[in-house]
Amino acid sequence: MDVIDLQNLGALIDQVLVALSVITGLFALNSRRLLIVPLALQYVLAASLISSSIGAPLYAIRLTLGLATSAIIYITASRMASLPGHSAQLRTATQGADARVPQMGPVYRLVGLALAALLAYGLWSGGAIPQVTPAVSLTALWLGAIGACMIIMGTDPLRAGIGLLVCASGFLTLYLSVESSLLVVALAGLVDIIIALAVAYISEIWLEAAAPESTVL
Amino acid sequence: MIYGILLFPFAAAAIAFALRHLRFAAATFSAFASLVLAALLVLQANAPAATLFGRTLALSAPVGAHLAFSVALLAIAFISTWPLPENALSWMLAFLALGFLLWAVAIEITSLSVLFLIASTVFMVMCASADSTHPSMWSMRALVTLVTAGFLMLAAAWMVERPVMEGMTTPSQAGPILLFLGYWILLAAFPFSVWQFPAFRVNASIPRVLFGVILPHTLLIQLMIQLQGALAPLGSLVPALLFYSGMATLIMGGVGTAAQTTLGGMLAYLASAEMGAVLMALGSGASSSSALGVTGLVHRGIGLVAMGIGIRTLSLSLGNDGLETMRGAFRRAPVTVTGTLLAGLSLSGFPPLAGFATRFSLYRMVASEHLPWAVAMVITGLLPAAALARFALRAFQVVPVPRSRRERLWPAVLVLALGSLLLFIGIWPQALSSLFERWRDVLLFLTIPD
Repeated sequence: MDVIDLQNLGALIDQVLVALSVITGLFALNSRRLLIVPLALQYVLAASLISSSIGAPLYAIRLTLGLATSAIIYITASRMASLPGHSAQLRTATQGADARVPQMGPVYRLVGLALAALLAYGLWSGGAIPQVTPAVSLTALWLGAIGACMIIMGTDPLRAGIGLLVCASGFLTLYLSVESSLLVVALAGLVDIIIALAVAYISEIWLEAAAPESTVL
Repeated sequence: MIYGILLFPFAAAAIAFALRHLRFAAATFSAFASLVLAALLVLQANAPAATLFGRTLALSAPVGAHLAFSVALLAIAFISTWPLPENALSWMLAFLALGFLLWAVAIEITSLSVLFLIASTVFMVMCASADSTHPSMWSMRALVTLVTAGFLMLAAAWMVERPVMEGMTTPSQAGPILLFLGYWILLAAFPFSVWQFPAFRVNASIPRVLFGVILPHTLLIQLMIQLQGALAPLGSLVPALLFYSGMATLIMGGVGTAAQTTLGGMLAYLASAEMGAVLMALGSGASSSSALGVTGLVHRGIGLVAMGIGIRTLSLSLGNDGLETMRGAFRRAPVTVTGTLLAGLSLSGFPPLAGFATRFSLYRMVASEHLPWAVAMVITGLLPAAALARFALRAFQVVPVPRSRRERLWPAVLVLALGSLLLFIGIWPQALSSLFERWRDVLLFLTIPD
């Protein structure tokens, strides 16, 4: 019986590792609109992993709130992309006082994210977090690390904000696996939505400030 | 009644959103709603606790008094937006931040309280970013800092509320330490002050009140209450940390004020320095430490609101808040310049204004134990006064001020009234005590264990 459990556990970890690697790779994409895919995927993965501890109804709530958060980010990314000459505006904005660094390409981002993921994997291999299943602790550490990396590498509020959401998702996965009351799950979801709204709002304000003459936003 | 108080800001936010394009109506309504909320908070003192989903909701008298004071100052900032327009969403965002903050202080479960606190700070950042005039990553960095601090506190709350985990016989010691660290970051005490300065530089009064008055007041009350609860295992470490981080914040604020070239920047560092003085007072362990700290906090709140509105008025009158722009400002805005100077001097602890009492007691307290530190504090305390003297010298110059216009009378009168109040309290500290004795006692009824 124990041998079967260990085999199941090993298979689950493998699946989680594959899913996390795909998500990490997708986060390196250039298109901001496409970032919705890994964002939604990581919400699905995180909610699925804690579904056994929070139960089916709370799993549904968590999943719905995660997808709603992704939708908010998608709308913002689409509005940014639909701006005439938005690339020029973004370039102007990122050349401001706050960001005098050249825009990093997808290869650089991929390398950075891979290093962060390796760091998370190393930490996870080093020791178990008490009261948490290995799959949950791996996912939480991984998402936390790549989220932090995206915040550091982000040269515009949308990318940094998505990093914050991923980081928050990692932390909340860990937290909700040990604290799973209805009120806490609902409030954590509400906080996620509010952070997503703030990211969307700050991104639009940032772009407006970069191009004050623009009337599109 | 408590449900009414907790739901009131959300209803006010909805109405403020509906009125957002009617500036006069929105400002008047928001100020009136804030005053009603402040009155409700005072009236509900010691009202019976309510229960929601098995969780207790209660607002103790000192918490209610402090929030009422902060909300009354927010009402003044709201009414100043009548002639000094700010972002159309600021009123709504401020009410939402206030609403979540009220839930954070009312609910007795620390983890839920922290989640509400995170939501509140996110709305505060949104309110501050609304008035950004140039593309800056500050808002996002502040958001990351505040959310991270919140998650730190959430983890700490879990450790504190689940004291004995499986296989452990004693509660985790990391919980109280992480909880205090979260407070430290959110209070913007040294060395975590950096995230807050840009919020004061944003040329808007409402975010300044949210970050400078409402958030620190609430956090300090929570911190002091939790010293008897979740933070109790840290014992005398918390007062010592408050004292030394307060001293570092005071010195950094003093030096920083002298280096500023804008009035907004000066306000940021002045507020930080005064917060350092408050933290030092609260952590000093003296018999009157909590009364001294809370008094300093109240004076700081009034000074910050007055100077914030003053800077906004001067910016609209002269074009911007740069010190060089202030040449001849007294001719165009005499009332505002006078009020702003009074408020600034009080924040810098200059005699005979209200802020001097706290500073003088601190200097005396430190001098009795470490004279060189007291000398360093006095010197850094003089730097803000010197910076304000630079402003005054420019403002009183008799030079033409091209492309300027007369000050708006209504906010100018508000600034002068608040500045005069600080002068009045400084000269005659007992004057208002007889009028508001009971309320003052409630406001000061917070103790720190020795």
